[in-house]
Amino acid sequence: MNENLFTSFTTPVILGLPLVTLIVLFPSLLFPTSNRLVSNRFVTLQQWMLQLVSKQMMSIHNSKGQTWTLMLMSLILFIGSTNLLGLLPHSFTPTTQLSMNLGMAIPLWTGAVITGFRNKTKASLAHFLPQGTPTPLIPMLVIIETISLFIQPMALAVRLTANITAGHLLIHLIGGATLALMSISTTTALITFTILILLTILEFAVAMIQAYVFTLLVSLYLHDNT
Amino acid sequence: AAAAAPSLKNAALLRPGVLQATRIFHTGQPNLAPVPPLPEHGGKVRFGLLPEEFFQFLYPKTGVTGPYVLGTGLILRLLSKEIYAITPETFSVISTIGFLVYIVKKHGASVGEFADKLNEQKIAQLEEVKQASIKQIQDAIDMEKSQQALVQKRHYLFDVQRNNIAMALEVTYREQLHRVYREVKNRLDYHISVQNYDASEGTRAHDKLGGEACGAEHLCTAGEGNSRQVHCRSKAARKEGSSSASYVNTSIPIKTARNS
Repeated sequence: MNENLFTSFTTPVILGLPLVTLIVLFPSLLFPTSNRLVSNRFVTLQQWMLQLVSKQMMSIHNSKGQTWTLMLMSLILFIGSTNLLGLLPHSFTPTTQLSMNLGMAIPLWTGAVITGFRNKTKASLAHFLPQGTPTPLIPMLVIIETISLFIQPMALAVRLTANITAGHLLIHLIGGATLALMSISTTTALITFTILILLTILEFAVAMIQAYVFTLLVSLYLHDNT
Repeated sequence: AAAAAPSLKNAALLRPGVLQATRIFHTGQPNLAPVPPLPEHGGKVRFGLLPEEFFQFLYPKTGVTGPYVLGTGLILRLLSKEIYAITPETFSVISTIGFLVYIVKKHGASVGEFADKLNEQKIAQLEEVKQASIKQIQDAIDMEKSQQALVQKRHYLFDVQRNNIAMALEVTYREQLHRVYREVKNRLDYHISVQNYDASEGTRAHDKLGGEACGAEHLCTAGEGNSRQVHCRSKAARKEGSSSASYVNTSIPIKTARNS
């Protein structure tokens, strides 16, 4: 199926038609809306989970920051579901593409920073200088803080891409090692298979954690700026 | 009305603006109105994928083992013809799917119960509100009924009060009557005792005085037969005989009424 390691990361195209659009839109089918008071178990569990996450994440913001709730909740649901779906065999994960993650990180970060500069200019500028720095260090520190500010969107995007891509790659490699070892020594293959199982468990955790981290950091940037 | 009003079906001849202006709104049942109930259990499946109806469909021809043999044959064909090739990804398939099946088998039921509990809590909360409201109204009704019952009994109080007042009035009346009787009796007793005195000694004094004491006519009563007494009596009778007679007359009915 896959000739080399990179084929699982190329954007799927069928007869020249971008299938990737459908793949990116697919997770929305897994979150049905229901107007009932008492729905089926699936919808009930999703509603409960969403309520839990939104309460935990948006309680630190003031009312201006809480207008971002819809955005952040959709973000965490999207990243979580695409990561988890990508763990299924032979599937494509959109979040392995740096282009997509940059497309998510840069607008969100820029929105938070511009909100901060528009509404609380003095406080936003004050973030460039931590409290209690000795006077000679101030110019240097301002430069460092500026760099750290501008690196935030890059860090967001690259963090997500690297984690998910590395995870997929490791699974592939260790699977290949198991396959190669099967004909040489079955015991070693079994050990390698155990490692693969553990890695799978880790990947499930990482998928969800990365979604959480991404959204948490965006909310943190928002909190600084509202 | 549906035939007369323009609809999307026969909008081809109309201009777009006309269509927009004559669009029909809310012609059907709104889908928020009574929603049909959800089925309680989903369709039965084997291996989580294959519906039970498939097995029932093959049962008449191939018995119980039919679908399993079919499945095994298909899988072996896929593998042997390398339609499905064993690659490194196969192992990730085994580990991922194995992990998922393990999780579902272990925790599936408890998660389902948790979801049911969530729904139950929601319904119980609303039910509690409803029951509290019903109870409140019921309590109000009971209190109102008891108050009405109390009001019904109030007439006893009024009757008692009325009786009390009637009794007090009666007592006052009788008391006054008795007082009147006593006063009159006193007066009459005085008259009688005076007459008795006159009858016993008054005549001698009368004789002594020589008849001029006849001026005190009120001292004379109808006593023993005596010319002077008759004379006095006739004088007295002329003057106030009617009144003394009336005294005597009225004393009798009072006496009889009180002594009866």
